[in-house]
Formats: sequence, structure tokens, C-alpha cells
Amino acid sequence: MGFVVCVGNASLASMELRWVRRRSKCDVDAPRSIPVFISTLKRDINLEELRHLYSRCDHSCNRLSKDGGSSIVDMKKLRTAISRSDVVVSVFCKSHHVEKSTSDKDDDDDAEEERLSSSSLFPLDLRRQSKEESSLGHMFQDVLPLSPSSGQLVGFGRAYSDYGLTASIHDLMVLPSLQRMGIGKLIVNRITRLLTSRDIYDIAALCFEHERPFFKACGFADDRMGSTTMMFTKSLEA
Amino acid sequence: MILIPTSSSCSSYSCCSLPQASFNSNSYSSNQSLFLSKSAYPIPHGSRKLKTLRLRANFWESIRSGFVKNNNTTQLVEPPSTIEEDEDTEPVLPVEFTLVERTLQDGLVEEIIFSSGGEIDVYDLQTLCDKVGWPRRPLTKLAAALKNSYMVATLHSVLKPSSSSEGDTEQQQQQNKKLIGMARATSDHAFNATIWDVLVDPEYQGQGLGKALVEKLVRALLQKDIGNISLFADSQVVDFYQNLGFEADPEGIKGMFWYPK
Repeated sequence: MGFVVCVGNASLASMELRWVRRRSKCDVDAPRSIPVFISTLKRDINLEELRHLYSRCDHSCNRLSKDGGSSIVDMKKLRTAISRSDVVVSVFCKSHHVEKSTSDKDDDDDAEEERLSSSSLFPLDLRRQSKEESSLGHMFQDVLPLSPSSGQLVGFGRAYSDYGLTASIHDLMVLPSLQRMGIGKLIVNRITRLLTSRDIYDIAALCFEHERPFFKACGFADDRMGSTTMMFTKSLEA
Repeated sequence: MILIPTSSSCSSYSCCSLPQASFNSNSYSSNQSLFLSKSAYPIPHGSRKLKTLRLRANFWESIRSGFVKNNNTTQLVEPPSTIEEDEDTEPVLPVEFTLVERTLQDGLVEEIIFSSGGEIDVYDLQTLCDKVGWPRRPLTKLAAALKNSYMVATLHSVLKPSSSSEGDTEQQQQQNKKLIGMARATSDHAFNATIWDVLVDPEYQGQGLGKALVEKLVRALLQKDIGNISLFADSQVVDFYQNLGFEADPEGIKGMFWYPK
């Protein structure tokens, strides 16, 4: 059962509610179909939350690792980058869905630590306890409407262009615990749809080796003209 | 605006304020200030614009000093002052300076002028693209791309008779001015920039002009603390960019393009 509620022009909706589903059948107890809220509005972005997302996805704004491995994104630059990006797509989902999926995995240390500090129980007991409480509490929260202010930022992507010929997609990220559910693809499709609606078809994305299969699945491919991607790596001489 | 999931069929609300307007308004306001030096538009923040005029000049001064061979005919706008970070104003002030000046056989003096932030005639640009053999692109798109690029650098060649008097009219100079090179970069003004469309007239190639064009553009971007400068090079110019400090596929980063099926 999936439905879409659109706000605004149907083909260029700025805010949309969608359902994403995990393809694999593991983790039977957790609901594997969760609602996400996609927004293309800049005002829905909370910069602090965005910076937090960058850290949690381990995404650095400096592509080349030698250019400073600090994982904290500079706030002022982030603000400029967002305000000057022509397309921004943010994906939100309800907080309890994020927490629940992180409780299924042991590798999300942040969430683990937070829960440990708030209660004196061991992780195993915590999980059991949260399951008991989950049915009522989550049923209530499931009914509550999802909006950018009530949800948690879990996915993001942005692109800048010259409004005429070309565009570049950058900083595409989804929380590790919610990956492989189609959220990333949702973001990419939304970006390309917005760009093509403005008649820009030359859309580029810089990606690492391990991201290439993902982009390939989204409809990206190596340049047909056979061009080589090059980046500036020399340091500025004083 | 709260969206409540219901079991009824979906409906679309037309009362939502257009999000697209917020994208375009940014570029419209920036377009207005592009022409600030040429028209009499009322400028809302007058004193702030003047301050940034000065700081942009200083910024270009520091780049120019790295290259110029001939110091006599430079035209810079303002004396230097302290540089501050200001994210809302125009990135580049219209600035131009002479790169090379030489005397030709028939007594004419040719000046190659580097300029940035100035206006470009799209027809001239299209002629130049034809000369280098690039496929034709719609003029409106070309004009929009130039207007909304973060930085556009051009090279013009100006021919003057060696015995030119001071009374050379502006019009005469305009007629002898020829567009011979261009490079532009798009950016998000903070982290990433991509250089597109670098071209130099075939008659003027092999003289280091293309190198100067790209080098200045890159230096300007680095001075703005933009760390990721990328470009997509055709196979025959990969070496050219390598000599300028670019690396092919660094750390396995490749560019992919969207091809709708």
C-alpha cells in the first residue's frame, strides 16, 4: 500500500511523502516499509542537522583526502554552498524509524553510546525493552503526520548549475542504517527531474570507485565523448 | 503545512508558494549587480557594494602580479584594501589587464587582454566555438550559462597602430577588439567548482595563452578557498591540464553523466 501526497504542481512537487522499502527479507521484526518525506525547499534544511548528517555519513566536503581530513564541515561555507546550490533535496523520516533500524545493527556506535548513557541497562536488555514499548508508542507515532520539522534528516543531495548547459551533483548521502532502501535513488531522480524540467541535460556527478554502481543504477554512465575527469591537486605556491 | 495520510485519493494543493521562485530570485538579484557598473540602477546597499568593489580589486591585484610581463598599460579599478569574507555579493568584479603586448611585422601593436567578469557577446563566442570545431549550442542557453557561471575569463586581442594617438576613439578600439579565448567555471561558491568550456582561437594557440587563462581561473578559485576544482578533459588535452597541476582520476574519482534511457 503506497500513496503519494503532492503539494503544488503535480509534476514539480516541492514536498512529497513517499514510502521506501528494504528489498532484502532480513530483520523481519522491524517494519521494513517506512514513510519518508522529500523536500526540495531550502527552508526545510536545518544547517546543524545537516552538518550532523555529514558526520554520521562520514562524508567530507573535501573530495581529496589530503585536503584536510577533518570531518567537521565548516558552517559558514556550508551555508554558502546550500544557498548557492540550485537544487537541494532533503529526505526526512520519523525519528523512531531511525532509532529502530540502528538498534538492529551493532555498528552504529553513536546511537549505541547515546542509549547507554541515558540508561544503565546493557544493550541487549535495552533492545528487548524498546521492543515491548515499541508497539504502543510507535503506533501512536505512526499516526502523527510527518513533516520536515517533526522528522529527522536522513538523506540529502544537492546540485549547482549554470542554468543553461551544465549541472553538477554533489554531497549525496543517506544514513548508513537506512541505506539500500531506495532513498539515494529517490534523491538522484528528484535532482535530475528538477534539472531536466529546466532544460539542463548535461548533468555530471563526481563519484568514488565504490559509488559507481549506485550511480550506474540511477542512469549515469561514463562520458560518451570519452573525456577524462581531472581534479586540481597541486598546492598553491606562496 | 501538514500532510496527513488519508485513505482517500491523493489531491494536489495549489496554494503552496512556488519553490522554484526561490531559486531564480537568487540569480536575478545577482544579475542586477553584474551590471552595476554600467547602468544607473538604484543599489540597495550602496556602501557595502563599494567596499566589496575595493576588496575584489585587491584580490585580482594579487593574482595579476604573478604573471604580467609588461607593467605599463594595466588598468585596475581601485587601490587595494583589506580583504574580508562576504558571501552575498558578486564573486568577480569586472577587471581586465594586459597579458602580452607585442609589435607585429606591419607596424601594428597587438595587445592580448585578459578580462574577467565583463560582458561577452554570445555571437563572438559562437564564432570562436566554430573556429575550434565545437558543435553548435543554442544561443539562449549559452547566454544563460555565461550569466550564471561563477567565473568567466576571456582573452581579447586588440590591434592598435604603433603610432596611435591618445585620441583614439572608443569605437575604433572596439572594432579592433577580437575575442580569442574563454574559460568559465561553475561553482557552489564554497566547496566545489567545475571548469567548463576552455577554448583558445587556433591562430593564437601554442603561446601559453590557454595556460594563462586556466591558471588564473584556478588561482582565483583557490583564493576563494574552493578546494575541489574539477574538469572533464578531452583526450588530447589531458597533458595540457596535467602540466597545470591537475590529476586524472585522483583517488579513483570519476565523473559520470546522466543519460536518460
